[in-house]
Amino acid sequence: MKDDMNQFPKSDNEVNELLNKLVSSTHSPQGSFTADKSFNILQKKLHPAKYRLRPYQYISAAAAIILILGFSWMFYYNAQSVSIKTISTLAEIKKIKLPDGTQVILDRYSSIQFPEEFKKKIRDVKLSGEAYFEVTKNPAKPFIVETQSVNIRVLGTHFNVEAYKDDPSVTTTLLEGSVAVSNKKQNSRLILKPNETAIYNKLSATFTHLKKVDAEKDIVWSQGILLFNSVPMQEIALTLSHKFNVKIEIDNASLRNHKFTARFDNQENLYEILDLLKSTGNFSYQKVDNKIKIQLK
Amino acid sequence: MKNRTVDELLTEIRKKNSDSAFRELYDQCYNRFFRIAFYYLQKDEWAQEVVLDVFLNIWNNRSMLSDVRNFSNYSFILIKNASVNFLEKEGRRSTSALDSIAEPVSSISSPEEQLIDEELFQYYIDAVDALPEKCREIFLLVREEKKSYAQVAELFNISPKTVDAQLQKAVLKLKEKINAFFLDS
Repeated sequence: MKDDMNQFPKSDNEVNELLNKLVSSTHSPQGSFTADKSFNILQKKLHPAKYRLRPYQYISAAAAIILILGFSWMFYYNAQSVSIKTISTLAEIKKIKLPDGTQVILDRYSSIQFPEEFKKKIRDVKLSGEAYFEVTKNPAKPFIVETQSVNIRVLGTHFNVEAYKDDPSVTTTLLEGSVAVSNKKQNSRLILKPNETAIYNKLSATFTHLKKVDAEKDIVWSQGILLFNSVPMQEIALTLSHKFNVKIEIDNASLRNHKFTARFDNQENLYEILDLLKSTGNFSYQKVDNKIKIQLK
Repeated sequence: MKNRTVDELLTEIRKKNSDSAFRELYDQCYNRFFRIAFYYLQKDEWAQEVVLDVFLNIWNNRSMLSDVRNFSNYSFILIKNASVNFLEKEGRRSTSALDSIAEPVSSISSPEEQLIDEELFQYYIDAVDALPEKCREIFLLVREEKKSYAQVAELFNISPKTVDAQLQKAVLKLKEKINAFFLDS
């Protein structure tokens, strides 16, 4: 580089020009920027307080700063990890993608909570209501669905959880993979295989293990379908109360146990469904306040 | 002339935490530091801030001064780094400020030329610093500040002829150094 632009010896003119260039490239401090004027500023920087710290005070100051930084970092980090997102549904079914790619279909009148980023060693979500999960595989970070009374631990799998707060039971149905279902006290635990269902009874705190269920039926709701295959009216009423967020009371024991088979595909509303059922079930219903009362005719 | 050499001052600062030695170092080096910082920053306020920070740094890290072999080189790099950092910080604060200082830098056409310029500049700064004190001051007054011979003569209470002689002496030495720079490289 220097060879081509600067053959030596250089002409006197070239050197003079370089010197001029160098002289004009900078200048000495003038006016308020001179050494004397600036020294006052330097002294303020050197002795910011009236007294100077002793060496051990420097150390404690440094320690304090480190502590403060540490705590603020922790606080910041934790504050971040608790930035939780809640998604709730009313009369609609929602598809949700979690930060790890897991697909969730959230049923009507349900809600799910999850962190905006899965920072912890587990992927932790909270569910109230019903949801179908297709969990993205990540063996290093187990996926845990927490409900009020039951935890479902998975590595990557497809399953359905029905966990309404006021229901006496929590139902977990597995379609693919494997999950471990346990109650909160961790004293009762069940491992499910595909097409198996675990029903946790909140009162007795025990699991019922159903094998060879038709798991697909448990998730037809995710397509907006209501399917009742020889289901007692009591359970139908429960399902309807979830789907339409109403209370349904049946005042007759035999009617409660009366079984229906029906399928509703077309987003029928509550009254359309009840109208259809009442003709075969021989009952009538009326709306009282926010409740539906069902009576034998 | 200098009472104590920079190295002696540094030793005293390091070993005795001497405020007075530090002040002496400050007085000896401030103008040089300022010229270096201004070369990078092209703004008096910034150059002052950076230079004072560098002095603060030297004082705060005085225990490490024993590792410094060549203070003039060391301080040049210190100021250069501080200036570059300052520009980056300044650039983050307001892009308009960066734009205004980008001009003198960009007047140097290629990065390679800029590199040569910087090396040559350091060479020049050291050469100016190596001039006898009076010779240096006269050179800077006349060439940098464009003072007339008469003004300088009055300031130093010498004849304009002596001013001219001193100036020629300085120019000759600096030109020798510039030539030597290209000879060396």
